[in-house]
Amino acid sequence: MNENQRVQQVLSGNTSAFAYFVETYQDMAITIAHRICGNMQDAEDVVQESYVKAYRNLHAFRSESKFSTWLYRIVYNTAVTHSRTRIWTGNREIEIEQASNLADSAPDLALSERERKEVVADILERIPRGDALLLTLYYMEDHPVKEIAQITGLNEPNVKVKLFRARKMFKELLTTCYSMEDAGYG
Amino acid sequence: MLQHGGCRLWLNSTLQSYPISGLIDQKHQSRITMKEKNMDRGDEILRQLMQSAGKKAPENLQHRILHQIETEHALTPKKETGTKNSVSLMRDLGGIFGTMYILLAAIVTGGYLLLGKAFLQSPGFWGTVVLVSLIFNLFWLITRLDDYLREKKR
Repeated sequence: MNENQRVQQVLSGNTSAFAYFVETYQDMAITIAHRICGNMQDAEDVVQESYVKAYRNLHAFRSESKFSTWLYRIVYNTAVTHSRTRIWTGNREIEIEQASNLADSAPDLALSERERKEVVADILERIPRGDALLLTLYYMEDHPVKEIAQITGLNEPNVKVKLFRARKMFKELLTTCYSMEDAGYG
Repeated sequence: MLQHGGCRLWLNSTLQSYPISGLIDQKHQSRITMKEKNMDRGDEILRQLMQSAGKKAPENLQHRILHQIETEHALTPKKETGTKNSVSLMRDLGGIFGTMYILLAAIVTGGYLLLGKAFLQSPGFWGTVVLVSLIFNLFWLITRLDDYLREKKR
């Protein structure tokens, strides 16, 4: 059964068919919400609110885009409204400066899996939330630029530029803070 | 001008035929390929790193979402109000005007039997018919108004 058929099932009154969408997309939805809100509690509330919004407006879903893109757009909008912060701006210079200071104390590491997760989470918290979100959408879910543009409401060239900057910033922080050249990056 | 153009043509053809130009091209090409490879490798490592940074939704979240959706579904009024309204309208119409016609029929029959055919042509009879019709029409109008106000309040 494809997603459009499941949507039709939900529209005809079978609410349990909606469980499929919750189960399939909740992890990515919470990742997006967490990138924007910055904490798990708010992210959970945002995801719950977004799913209820999606359910209420399911009749407005046109199959022109993927269900996931449509849902993530709702999550994005809800999270931005909820957090009331400007996600595309951040004090990058300060962050990188702080990172440089950190580099003095950070030894060269052959990182374990858990440590690597912590390092990535730490860097994603340092860069502007919008940039972290773009990297997440592009690298974690392999969304094409066109879909990222639909989710974030930016235009495609803008997404490309921001993605380039985000990648560069991520690399800078990674190499400055954690000397990841040794771990194979850079 | 012609000489200058010819010179350029010669230079181009010489560069193309001279083996060093191929060498330069190869070097340039390999540099681009290496750069692309590095970029791909960087992308691949970044992809691996990012994929480890995903968040897991807590187990109760799905339950919370579905519970709220079930509640919303249960509280949403069913779309039967349109049919319900038309049924109620027909019942009111039949009830009120049915009673009116029965009453008028009783007046006609009673008048004809008691006072004869002349009563049916008298202005008093027609006055009674008009009065009864007006009263029932007014009653029906009040019923409709009441329904409308109740619907609006809801």
